[in-house]
Amino acid sequence: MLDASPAPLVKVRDLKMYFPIHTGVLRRHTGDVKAVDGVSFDIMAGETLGLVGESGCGKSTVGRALIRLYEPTAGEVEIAGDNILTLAPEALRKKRPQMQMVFQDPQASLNPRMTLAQIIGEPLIEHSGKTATDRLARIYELMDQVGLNRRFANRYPHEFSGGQRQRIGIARALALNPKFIVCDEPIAALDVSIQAQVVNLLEDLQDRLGLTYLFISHDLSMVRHIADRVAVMYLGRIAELSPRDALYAKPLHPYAEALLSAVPEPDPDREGSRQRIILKGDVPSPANPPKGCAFCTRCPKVMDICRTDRPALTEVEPGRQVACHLFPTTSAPAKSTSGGQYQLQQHGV
Amino acid sequence: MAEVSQSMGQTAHPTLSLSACLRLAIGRMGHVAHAAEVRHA
Repeated sequence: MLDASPAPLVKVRDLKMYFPIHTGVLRRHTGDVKAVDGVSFDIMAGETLGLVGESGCGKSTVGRALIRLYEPTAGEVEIAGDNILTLAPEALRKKRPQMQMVFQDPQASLNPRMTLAQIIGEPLIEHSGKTATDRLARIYELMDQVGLNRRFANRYPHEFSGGQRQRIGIARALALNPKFIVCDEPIAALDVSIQAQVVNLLEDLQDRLGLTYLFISHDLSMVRHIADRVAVMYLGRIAELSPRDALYAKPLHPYAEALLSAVPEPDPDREGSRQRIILKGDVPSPANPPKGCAFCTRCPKVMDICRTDRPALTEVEPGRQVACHLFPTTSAPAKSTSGGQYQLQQHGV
Repeated sequence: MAEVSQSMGQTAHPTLSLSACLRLAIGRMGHVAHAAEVRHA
């Protein structure tokens, strides 16, 4: 799945997405919901980065801000060499074919008044300038790619099952040959047997077309199956960013540890000895996050420094980055989160 | 749905065409006239 010489296709630096709070008769700006608060990572070409975390931690907001469906408050997002956040509207429109999105709910993201052929053909009308005959040929090709029968071309979304609808959403995302696809919980609305079909389809397409995915999910087992590296988010920040196997074998951040302890083990012997970490309390409000570490109010290993200083995401092991004061700073705060080059410096904290 | 359109490069806030505006206005007038009739009755 990974290229022999990976290069970052997507670079995200200090991405912030604040939603303003307006109160009073005059609707004055009194605060912000900090949905995403300084997130940085890279995604290599041909790689799948899993983004996990509990509901409301900012996963979907990161995905949407990345392809500028939201206007981020601050930060930099570079996709295939262009800074997406500074592009003019027309340049952004021309860039759209390179970055597409598969939406969470296939029922809500398909227009009920359009047929399958019209839905898949819409981006082609918008960007490709193909004739109707060429467009229909491309629509049939896409339907073949995602395993939909060509006879269904004139049917409406309500005539399809959940899995088939999600395939239509995937075909629409593939129509313009994108390099990068944000998959925003593409399997959350599907039942388990269909989830496997859709995930296998996404993997097949990645192998055939060399796609790069940001796979947003709260299904930890599915992320383990599909992702090469995994970022764990908590309250708008990345808590840990590690290669998949290393993270699932030994999570470093206390939140990642608690989150992964919830994954059931298929082996009954190991399941019997599995230690669940039950976190106490609620997630703090993103409108008023704690001053130091976002997790300090619930962390079982909290220290005094956690309540005052915000930990930076630093590389603590080759390829593994953690934002936690438990781990002595062995390198400068991670600017590049590529898994490629590792330089460790001892600061002796 | 607006985000779906936006992801394909279409405008996020489609402007109303003249005919759509007229239809809305006529519909609104019909609604007001109907409400007046109901009140009168």
